[in-house]
Formats: sequence, C-alpha cells, structure tokens
Amino acid sequence: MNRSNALVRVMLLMLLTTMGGATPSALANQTLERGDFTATYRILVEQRAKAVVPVRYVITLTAGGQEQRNEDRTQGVLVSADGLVLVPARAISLDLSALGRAPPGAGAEARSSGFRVRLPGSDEWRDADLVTRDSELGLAWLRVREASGLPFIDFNEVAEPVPGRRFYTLLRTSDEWGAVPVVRPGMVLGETRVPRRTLLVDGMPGLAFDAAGLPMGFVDIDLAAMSRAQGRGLGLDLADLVMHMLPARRVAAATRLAETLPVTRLDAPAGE
Amino acid sequence: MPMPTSPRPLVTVLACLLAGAAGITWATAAPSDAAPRASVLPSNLAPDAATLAGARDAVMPHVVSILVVREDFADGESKLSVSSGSGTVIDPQGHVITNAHVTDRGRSFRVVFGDGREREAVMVGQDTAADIAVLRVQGEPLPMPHARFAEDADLASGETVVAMGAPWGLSNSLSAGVVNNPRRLLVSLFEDEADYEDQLAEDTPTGRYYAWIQHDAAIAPGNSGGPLVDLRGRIVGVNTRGMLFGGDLAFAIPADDARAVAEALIAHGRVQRSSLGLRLRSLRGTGHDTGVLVNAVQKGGVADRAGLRPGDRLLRLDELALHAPQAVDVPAIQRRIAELPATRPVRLQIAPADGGALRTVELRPVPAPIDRGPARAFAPFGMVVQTLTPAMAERRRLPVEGGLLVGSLRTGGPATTARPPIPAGAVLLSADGRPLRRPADLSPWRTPQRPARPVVLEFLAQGERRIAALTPSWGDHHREPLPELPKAWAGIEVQPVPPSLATPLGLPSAGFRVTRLYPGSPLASAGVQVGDLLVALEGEALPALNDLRAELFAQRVREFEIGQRVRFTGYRNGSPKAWRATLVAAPLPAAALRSMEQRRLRTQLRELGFFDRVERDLPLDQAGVLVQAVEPGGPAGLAHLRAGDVIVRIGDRRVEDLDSVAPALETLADEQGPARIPVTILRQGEARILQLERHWLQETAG
Repeated sequence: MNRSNALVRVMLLMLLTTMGGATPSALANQTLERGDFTATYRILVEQRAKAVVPVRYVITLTAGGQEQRNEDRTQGVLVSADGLVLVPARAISLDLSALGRAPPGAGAEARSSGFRVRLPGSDEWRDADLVTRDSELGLAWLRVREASGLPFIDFNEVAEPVPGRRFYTLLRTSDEWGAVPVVRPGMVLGETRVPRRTLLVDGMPGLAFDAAGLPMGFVDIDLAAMSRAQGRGLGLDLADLVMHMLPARRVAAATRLAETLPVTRLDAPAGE
Repeated sequence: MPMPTSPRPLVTVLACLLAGAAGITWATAAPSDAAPRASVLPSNLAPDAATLAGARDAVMPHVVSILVVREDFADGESKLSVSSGSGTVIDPQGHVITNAHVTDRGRSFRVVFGDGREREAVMVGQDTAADIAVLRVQGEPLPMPHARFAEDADLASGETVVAMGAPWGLSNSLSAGVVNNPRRLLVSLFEDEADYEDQLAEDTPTGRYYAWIQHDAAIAPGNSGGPLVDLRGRIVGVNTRGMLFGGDLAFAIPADDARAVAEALIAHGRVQRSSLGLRLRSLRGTGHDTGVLVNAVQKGGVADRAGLRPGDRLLRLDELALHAPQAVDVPAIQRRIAELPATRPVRLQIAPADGGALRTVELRPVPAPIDRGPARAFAPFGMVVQTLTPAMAERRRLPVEGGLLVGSLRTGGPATTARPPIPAGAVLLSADGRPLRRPADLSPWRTPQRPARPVVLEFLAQGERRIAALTPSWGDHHREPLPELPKAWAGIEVQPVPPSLATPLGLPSAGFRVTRLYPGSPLASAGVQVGDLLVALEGEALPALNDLRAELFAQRVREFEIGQRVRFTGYRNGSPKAWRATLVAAPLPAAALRSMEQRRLRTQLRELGFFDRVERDLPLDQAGVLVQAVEPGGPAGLAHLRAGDVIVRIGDRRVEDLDSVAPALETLADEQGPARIPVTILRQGEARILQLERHWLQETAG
C-alpha cells in the first residue's frame, strides 16, 4: 500500500464519519476486512488515548532482611473524571516467592509507594494514592489528588470478548519515544473455566478495546503461571504461555466498587 | 584412633556455657577430628563420699543460678530474651562472680539460691577481656555466707575437681572429674599460635591473659560462671567453656586470674589495663631459647616509637626475665604487661631481630584501648549503633577514631529509606552538625517532633565521607495491609469431590461437599447443611479438579457480586436440592488485618478478625487484640503472654482494638501503683489473668 492510497483511505473514512453515514464500528469493520487497522487506530488514538496515562512509583524489594528501592513505571488508564486510575495489581505488590524467584518463606516481596501520574496535556507528575486492589483479578486503582474534569474510559458500554475476536491494546510510549499512543493488536485465543474463568489471549498487557473503541477487557500476564510454565524441558509444551484477559464487564463491576472507597495511606508510623 | 590432622582452629569447636531461653546457645559445630588431644592421666584416685560431700557443702550453698534478661540487637531493633548461667557468692557483701558472657547485654539480673530464694542482683562490673563479671545480691542480710577461692591452687593433672552450677538451667547440679591439663592454651598443634587472638571474638578478645584449666567434670550450657572446686572445698576455677564434640572437655578460668579481676571490678567497677602496643608469641619454631618474640607492633604505638620491630625478642621487663618457650607461656607475660601502671616507665631488654647487640629501651605504657563500645538500638533512626572505640576503628582500618558504628538496620526503617540509604557498617560522624561519639548523643532525636524533619547525617562508608537526609519515625510501627477489594462470600467451607472420588463415596455427583457453616453464612440462611453436596452455581457446574483444591469453589463464588442473589443446586442424602442465597462480603482474612509492633510490651499484635473469633468460639463482636509474637525477655514475655492469646483488658482499661493498647500502657506505665498490672487474656476458651511488671513497662519505654 503506497502513501497516497492510505491518505485517500483515511480521507474517505473521515468523510464518511463526518457525513454520519456510518458508525465507527462499521467503518472499522470495513477496514478490518481488508487487514487495514488505520480506522481503528484513529478511533482509539483520538477518542481513547488521552485516558492512557503514565504512572511512576517507587518499588521496594524486600528479601532476606535486605531492602532495595527502584523507580518503576507502568501504564494506567483513567476510569473516572475525578482521577481514578486503573493499573495492574502487580505494580502495587508482588510476592516474589510465588514466582519461584525466592525460596518459600523467604518473605521476598515487592511493594510500591510514591505513586505519581502525568495527566493528559500536562508535563507535571501529580501525586496519587492507592485506593484498593483486587489481587485475584489482577487490578488496582489509584486516585490522583485533587483531580476533576479528566477524560476517562467509560465502562457503561463494553464489548464482549469471545475466542477468535481481535482486540487492540492502547498504550503510551515513554518520554524517550515522545510519550505517543501506540495500538497493539491481539487476539482471543481461547477460554477456560479451570482453575478460574479466564480468556486466553496474545497481545500486550493493558486495557483492550474492540475495533470500535469499546473496552473489551484487561489483558495481563499471570506471572506465577508463566513462571511455572517455563523450564518444562525439551518437550516445548508452550500452550500455557499465553496472556489472560479479564472481561470488561468484570473490570467495570470492580471499578464501580473501587470508586466508592477512600484512599489508603500505607506504612505510616502511629501518630504521624 | 589416629591423631587429627585438620588445621581447623580449636576455638571453633568451643562454645560458651550460657543457657539460652530456647535451651541451646552452642555457637558452632565442628567435626570431632578437630578436637585436640590432651594428655589425660587415668584417675584412679576416686575420692571417698565424705570428701566429696565436704567439698559440696563448702561451696554448693553459695552457688546461684543467674537469670538474665538480655538485650540483643537484630534488624535494627533490640530483642529481649531470657538466659541463665551460674555464679558463686564470694564475699560477705554478697558479690557474685560469674562470666561476663553471662551478664553481657543484661538488662536485669536475678539470682536463685539452691533453697529456692530468688533475689534481684545489680551489676558491679564486667570485664569481657577476662570473661569475668561481678553482680551484687540485693535484699539479703549481711554479712552473707560465701565460698572461698583457693589461695594456692597448684593444680596437677589427674587431680579431682567438682563442677557446680545450673546446666540447662537445672540448679543444684554437681559433677566430678579430673584436671586434664592445668595450663591449657586453646591452640591446637596444627595452627599458628599467632592467629589465636585473631580467632577470638572480634571485639571481645577473651582469653588473652590466662591459660585455661582443662578438666572433664561434665558441664553444659548454664554452667557458665559456676565454680570449679577442689576436694578441699575451695574455688579453683570459673567454668567458662565446653567442647561440642570429643567428650567431656571443659575449660575454666584459673582462680587467681578470676579473683584478681573480680577484686578490681568490686573496687573500681572496671579493670584498667596497660598496653605497649605490641603482640607477642612464643619462641616455638624460632630456634631461640630465651625471651619472648615480638610478633607484631602497632603502628605509632609505644613500642613502635621506641624502635621495636617484629622479630625482636624481649628478654627482660625491668628485673623480670621473660621466657616463653611454648604458646602457653605467653598469656602470663601479656597479663604482666597489662598490669603495668600507666604512670611509671619500664625498661625492656631487647634482642634485635637482625642479631645486633642487646639493647635496653625505656617505655611508658599507655592505657589499653577499650575493646568494645556500648551498643544501643535507636528506633527513631531504625538502626543499631555502637560507640566506635579506637581499638575497633583500628581493627577495621577505619580512618577515624570515634563515631557511631552502624550495626543492623530495620527493614523499611528510616535509615534504609534515607536519601541515600545508610548502610550497615557505616560510621555516623555527625547529625545536623553535632558530633556523634556515643549513643546518648542521639538523644535530641529521641522525642517525637511534629512534623518530622529530616536530619542531615554525615557518615563514613567505603572510605568516603558522605551525607544523607534521614527522616526519623517515632511510636509503634504499624503495618497496614494492602487494601483488597471486598469479595462475594457464601459463608461455608467445602471439601472438593472430584468424579473419581464421588463413586467410592457413594455420592450422586462430583462437586463440593459442605463441611462447615460460618455464623452469618448466606448458604446457612438458605437452608444448606453440613454434608450437602453443591454441584452447580447459576446452572453452571462447579468443577472439583482434585481432592484438595477447595478454593475453586470460593473462586467461582467470587465471580459474582456482593449482594447478588444466586442459585446453588446440589444433593442432600442423594436427593436433588436447590438453594437461593444472597452473597455477602467476605470477612477479611488474617493477611488483610492491621498489625503493629508494640514496643512497650515487646509484642507483635494484630486486629482480631472474624475467623479468629470463630476459631476461638468467641462472640462475633468480641473486642480485643490478637498476640502474634512475643519477645521472651520483654514485659509480655516475662508475664508469660503467648502467641495466640487475645488481650481484652490491661489493668482497668478495656482493650477494644489496636489503637487502644498504647494509650492504656502509657498511662499505666507512668502511674504510681502496684508493682504488677493485671492483664486479662482469652486463651483456650478461658479468661485468664497474667501479671505485667510495671517497672518493665517503664524500662522498655525508651
């Protein structure tokens, strides 16, 4: 595909959109049929990307009485106008012994603090507090202090993930690459109910959307399962090396509950 | 049996005879082939019963068990434990001689006599270099009856001796044996005697000034500090060390050495020693037959300034001829030098290493450096600090003479989170510009300041003088669990029944068998009973994968929302049944409950949760806090509080929750009142009263 053809296609899509003759979903489907995701890219970047924000924090690794602190970052998604940010629970805490990285009982744990979020259109890192997490779902929520009127992902209408369906994870690069949005396609590869109900996917961790920009689910790595799946010898049985997607309706339900909770201040000595 | 060939240092197979709270404090283990061979004479001189009884009656009534509340340091905090040793009343004023390693880091002492009398004791002085300490018994009428040292304990191999004390804390114990060697230096035939001092504990070089009495009267941890007695009923030694392997080998400090140190401690509270700034070794292997060899010279020390060099031999000290053909002869010379008055010059006759003419130099001894400075945990900084003495600095080759040596650090505490973090092994030099020389220099930061302001610390680490900003923290350290989103709960425990198990059990289907109904259980309210089999939830089969994974049931329930009404189907006694239940929020698991380190009580406490109450058959609104861990030597440990207890009342104050503990303790500790404060606990279904000692609460305040 040469540049002029692509440009024509984009202009045509814009024309059709402005004429109101087709829904974003219909447009996306038309282009998808031809293996072209430009419309989806535009929908996601223009309508959703402002809600994808970088999150920085200090991760403290404790093992064998020793402590190490490092700065880390993750992708967050604004899920309310007043600054509720959805992040993966592994960015909040991680039991490293469950990953086989430390002997059982060694108490190796990573725990995060000092959360900061950079809001869209700003170069300022704003302090945020932990609201809650759901370690089973792999989700956590931060709240940016004194925030209002922010763009956010609305879970009132969601897409249903089913095996065989494509999805698109919306991410934001680091400052080194301009902090620009990127769209990574993925696919729902299967589903299982054992040991828990989950969709097996490939793609990238983060909030996934369908081609029309509706949230479909939260994709993440099951680090413990991934750790167990590795090193199984030369049989190369790699079927378990997949990512998991939590359907958006469950993300929505958990987020509704998290929205009602106050923030948590961790590890404050008494009286301080 | 062949002679051992291992060059393993002998001291590694020795252990102090201090009985710890856990029973064993033997420091280290080593293969038995590392044990030395002593020439032991066969003892065919078994004493008659009357002689043995005479020795026993002369000393045993004056032997005491010593109970010590000991403060050790780990993870940046102090840890209190209880240990025991032995001792002997040695004069009418009630002074008790024991080992310094019995009393070392002791916060409180009690002595228990053979007839069961228990008395407080106070520290008079301790000398770690000689491993001798003296306590004084309180509350006994004076003059006190006491045991006596042998004036002329000229012990010979094969002579019968009796060890008395409290092995493993068992008081009134006595064992008999013979002297194996009255002058034993703990250096094997296979190691360099010059390494001997290096192998002694780094900052407590015990054993520098005497040779030991080696004997085979059975001793064990708890005998430390107890007397070794001859058949005339005289103290001939102080039992100090035992052998882990190789039979009943015991080592005692000779009576004359022990008594001299004890007398100095009683008179001055400490032993002042002198130093010439040199280290000595015997002539063994040198080809020389007179004098004692200078093994090392302290740079810039007295001997160095006088021109002494390693390899020189000392022939005379003033009028005294020095002669050390064997290693065992060296400690007496070391002691002689240590006893020189620091005010008077001495003359040394020297045979130079280069074979030159004999020469005599005049030296003025200097006070020996203090081997080890006092240590203290400083909670606001989350670190253990120790006064850095010049001797410690020299051993560590630090380019400073003073400061506070940082020991262990509290994980996540102010020191480890300072910017930059302060590492263990650093030397604190100043805080906010004020020099730091002793732990007491940190007192300005002991009391809380609101808001907490960073302290600028200057410290030495890896040869560099750095600065860091440290924000102190005060008060009990709360551990807040990470929050967790509430989950739906059906209020039951289940046993998985996979298909392969359902048939042999005679059950109609695979599923989950109900094994317990919790109070307030939604399924119990819906009519479910223990023994019912649940096979589906909202029409979808509940998968029981194997015999063990009961959590799959709970996971499936958690996929629904709190407040959601769901339909379970299953069987009761083989007949199909269905139940409708409205799911509720699951009670918090233990990991999600708040906990705290209570510093006054020296305990780890946690909120009382739903499952704690159910386990203990308590009302669901039962107030109180759960004890998770207890320091054996802390106020709670000494009151016999245990992990698993629930504290419901301290004194006249109800304990509602974690936040009510500290105020109750603060008030009670500060009040004048009875010596003991009753604490009501719940244990094994009963309410019990334990007694907290008020003075201990006051002790642990700092």
